[in-house]
Amino acid sequence: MARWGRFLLQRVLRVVIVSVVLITATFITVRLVPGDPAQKAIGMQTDRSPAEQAATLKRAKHDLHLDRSLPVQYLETLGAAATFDFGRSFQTSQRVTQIISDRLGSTLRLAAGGTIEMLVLGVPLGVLVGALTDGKRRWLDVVFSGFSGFIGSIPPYVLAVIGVFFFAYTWSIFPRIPEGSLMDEVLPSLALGLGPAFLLARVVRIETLDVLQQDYVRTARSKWLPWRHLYFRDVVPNVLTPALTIGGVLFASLLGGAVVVEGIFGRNGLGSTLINAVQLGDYPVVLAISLLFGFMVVAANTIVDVLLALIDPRTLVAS
Amino acid sequence: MARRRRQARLRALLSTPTGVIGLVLLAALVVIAIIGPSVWGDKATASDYLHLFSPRSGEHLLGTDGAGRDLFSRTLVGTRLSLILASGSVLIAAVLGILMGATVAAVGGRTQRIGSTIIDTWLGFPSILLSVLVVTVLERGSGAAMIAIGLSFAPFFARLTLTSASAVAGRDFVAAGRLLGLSRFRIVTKYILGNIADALVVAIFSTFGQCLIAISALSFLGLGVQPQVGAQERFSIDWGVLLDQGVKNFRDAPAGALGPAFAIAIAGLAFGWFGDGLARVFNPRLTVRRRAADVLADPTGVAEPATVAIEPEVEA
Repeated sequence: MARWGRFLLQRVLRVVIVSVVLITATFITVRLVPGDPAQKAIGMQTDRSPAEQAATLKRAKHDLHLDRSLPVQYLETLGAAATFDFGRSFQTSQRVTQIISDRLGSTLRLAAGGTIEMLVLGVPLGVLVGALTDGKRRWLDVVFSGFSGFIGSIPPYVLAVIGVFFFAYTWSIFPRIPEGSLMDEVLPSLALGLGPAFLLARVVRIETLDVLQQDYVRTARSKWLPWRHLYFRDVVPNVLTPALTIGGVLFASLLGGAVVVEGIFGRNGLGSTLINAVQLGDYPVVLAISLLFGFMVVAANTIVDVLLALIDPRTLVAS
Repeated sequence: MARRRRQARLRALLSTPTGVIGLVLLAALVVIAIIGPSVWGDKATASDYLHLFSPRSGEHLLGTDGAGRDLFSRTLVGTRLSLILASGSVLIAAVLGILMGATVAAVGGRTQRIGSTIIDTWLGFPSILLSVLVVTVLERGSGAAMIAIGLSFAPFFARLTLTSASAVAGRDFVAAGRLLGLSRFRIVTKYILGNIADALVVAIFSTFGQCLIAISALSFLGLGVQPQVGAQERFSIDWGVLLDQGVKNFRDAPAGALGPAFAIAIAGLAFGWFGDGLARVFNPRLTVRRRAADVLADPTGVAEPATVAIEPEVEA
């Protein structure tokens, strides 16, 4: 139990440290952006007299707390991040929290769809090919390696374009723009999850081969245990550990992919909001979304760590 | 002797079908990049208002866009800028990363552990976020995109340099150098970098395709190349920009996005295969089977040569 306590404490500490690093990095980045943020916030206001403009600018600076010293601003940013309150967007004056809560769902569905697709396709495929190539069918080994490497190297946004071209435009199987049904999620999750699924399948196949070489599997086989028993009780649990580890690694790239592919599917998620905010210099929004993404990656890694410790308590000792 | 060695290396590169295909595709891409804008430039940028959004045909392999420009020619013309931008970002990543890795390897001790942690944290940072932040600061454009992608791939080279250097550092000739009283810096530049150069060269080629994919994604999002109009257009479009234009016109000319999409995929694949072939050249022991741990550490297979070519002197 004490071991668990220390383990969880370590993970939480890591999340906190990485978050502070992330906040500091974005804080510095935003301060490096050329141009006066207060000016951007109030717009050009060419119809007013210079004196009025100066007064408005000063008020805007005060409202945005830009007239305080940098250390104070930094502490305020830390506080803002802790409460996730980033003020209002420069462009729409909407609350940043509001913008994010409106768009988060779409992005999360996309990432979740990709993750499910990766696990549901990758693990069984890897176990299957592993079982089929266990000491035989050398050709399948070669074909699978080549094919999975091929699919794995195509970026999600290219898969998305090809998928939309064939399945939404040429054959009209899936909707071209979101209609609010479950069908909306099929193509995006395929585009995001297919590459990672095949990369995962490669790892799972090798792990499966490894498990099939173990003494306990030989014993199980010598006792003529049914294959269901062999695969579900021996192989799958042992393969799950590496599958989860690499799944955590692939989740980060999946999230990045989600940012890029959103537009192709006509979805209005956090990715397109982020890109828009970058182009317009709307940096409360940039700051909030970057932090959220960074936090999601760290959180995913932590969840994977905890799951691994639950499945395989040996990792507790190792860490 | 040197010639025989070169022949042996070429044979190793061409020993697998993917190595051959990679090399051929790569050569074709380079040729298209060189002659592209002058050969297909006119067809790619001249408007033809009698043939707007015309479907695929013998004359227009992928049809035309909203200004009647031939989409296939545009894809070919985009090759040059795409390859140039990818080269630039790989160069930035490699120079920065190798410098960082070598410095961290040279200092040793506790500072090395801190440096190593920094590299790992940087490596774990989602690269799209890093790129977006860099572009925010530098203002979008092809130069900013190149730096952004360079910075996101730099930690990879730093980690590779550091890991390979640590592997070499334990060897006898490094100990001999230390006995001779050489400084840490001198040992790194004289003994260690020379011995891991092969691995780094392989990594540069393997990373090339990924950089191309990443920088095309930035252009696709409108954060990279900003296309110009007029005479400069043929030099200011890359595959990312073309993909963006294609996706925006999906309804009227669905094939328009296919050209750049396939171009990006093919180029990424060609560089990947060529990189695999090169890795085999420098390490004949490298077999098809890779350990799960390696795939795990690096799903794309780029870091594979980390253990490679530590003993280039050993020649049968």
